[in-house]
Amino acid sequence: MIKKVLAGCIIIYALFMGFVVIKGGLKDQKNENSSVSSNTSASKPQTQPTTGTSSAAKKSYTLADVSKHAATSDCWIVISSGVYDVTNYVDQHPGGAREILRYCGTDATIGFNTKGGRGSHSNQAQAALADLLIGTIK
Amino acid sequence: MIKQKWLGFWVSVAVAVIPALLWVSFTPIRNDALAKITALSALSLLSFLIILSGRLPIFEKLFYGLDTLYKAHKNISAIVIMLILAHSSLLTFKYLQISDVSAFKFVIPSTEIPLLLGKFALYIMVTLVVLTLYFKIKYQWFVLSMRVMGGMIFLSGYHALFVAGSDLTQNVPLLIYMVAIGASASAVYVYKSLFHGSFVKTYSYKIISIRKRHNVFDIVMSPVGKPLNRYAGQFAFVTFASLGEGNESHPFTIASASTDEHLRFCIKNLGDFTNSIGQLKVGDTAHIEGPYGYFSFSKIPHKKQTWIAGGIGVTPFLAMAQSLPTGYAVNMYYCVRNKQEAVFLDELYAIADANHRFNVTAHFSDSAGQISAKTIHSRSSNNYLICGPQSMMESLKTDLVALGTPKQEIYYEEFAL
Repeated sequence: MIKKVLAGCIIIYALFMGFVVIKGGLKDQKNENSSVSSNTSASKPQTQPTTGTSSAAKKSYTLADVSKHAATSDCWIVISSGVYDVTNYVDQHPGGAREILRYCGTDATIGFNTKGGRGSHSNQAQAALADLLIGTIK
Repeated sequence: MIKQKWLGFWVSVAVAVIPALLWVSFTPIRNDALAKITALSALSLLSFLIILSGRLPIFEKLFYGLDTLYKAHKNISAIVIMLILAHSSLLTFKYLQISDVSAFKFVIPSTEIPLLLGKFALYIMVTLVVLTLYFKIKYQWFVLSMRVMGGMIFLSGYHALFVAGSDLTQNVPLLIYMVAIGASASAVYVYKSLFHGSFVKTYSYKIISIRKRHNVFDIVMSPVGKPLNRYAGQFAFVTFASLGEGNESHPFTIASASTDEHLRFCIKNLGDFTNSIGQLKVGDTAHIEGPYGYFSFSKIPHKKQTWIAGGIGVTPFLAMAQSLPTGYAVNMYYCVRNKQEAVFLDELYAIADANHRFNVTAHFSDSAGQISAKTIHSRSSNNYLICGPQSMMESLKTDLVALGTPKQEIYYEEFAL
């Protein structure tokens, strides 16, 4: 009995994974093709995100302060000396939540600037990030 | 006895549910709660499986016999795999809600080591469970598979502690529970698998006679030091030093009377490890770990019993028949294909001659077909003990119940690895 149930689970899982890989993989390829063409026309992305667009007074934090916010439910990251609370943004990240979650509580500058080793972020992404700024590193 | 069996079941349920309850009580619920809970239950159960594989006497008692413990072990393994698949699917589904691409990126091998190890552990475990559950593999491959599967506790543990998004370290009661069960499992694993340690005393024996009868090796050994104390029907794990075989121990039923200080094993040649038994010589040393098992006439309330042996499943009954005290009335059916295969029939007849309350009937399936429940069914209150091929035990049990025998009056050795 349990063997049959397990066999069913494994088959459903394999089909589900196959579906995700094929559907997502095709879209990913399409995105990559389109981003190559848009990159050539767009201006060179900045390496430094636009900071201080909000008028609210920003606090300064130590890296130790930031490291206390290392959970999915409470995720701060550091990018080029700016401290960002990305907790509520994680689920909206087009490249997948995981890409941000892995940096929670740490310095994500390199990850952000190199898009995890796959290029660089768009101006739109820089702007989205700027909204999340809560302070700077001491 | 039935209540005892349920005890093991409920302990297993508790092992799965405790981490879930601890997680729910001390972590704020979010959309990935179910993914976290399935993972924690799976890891907790995987640890429990490794602890069970240590063959600790307390767990044998909990499951009322090592055979039922192994059956539970098999079922829990299947449940662990289902939980892990659910964990992986739920997380993938979460990313799927963000975008197809993000789910795709989650599924493909990533550069994040703890995540990669988790995926690796999942694929290895699924492969091994499929291999051991759905394919008939040799015993030594089975043991190796279980060893590799046990090793996955280290990868899964690392994954659980360090993967991005893990909040295990922030929930102290849960962390304490998981570390405690995980560390116990790791200790059992290292002691058993890497050092070949045993939690049960081992005894040294020397082979004093070995002969081949049809396709069965009949081995008798005498104790080098203290003899093994057991009751009739129990089995032990045997390691033959001269065979090497990576120091593998194999479970065999003891066929000699419980009062006999000699140990006798009747091992059917199945073409795998049992083939190498032929290389054993008189004077070779055997290490015996045990005894294990609860399959015995002495553990059963009724003194009027029917025993049904199928093929090599006769071994526990050989020990029991020779150890039968007065007051017991036993009808035994020895089921084999033909007369040639009935290696132990003369021996059983000799015991029956000496004890008029012990009757033996031989059943040859080549001429008479499979033994039917109607043949063995007794109208008066009775207990049935069955040991033989799995299919025979299952069909007899079903048919006996259909004839009105209460389930709890049927006992069988579940030994099918």
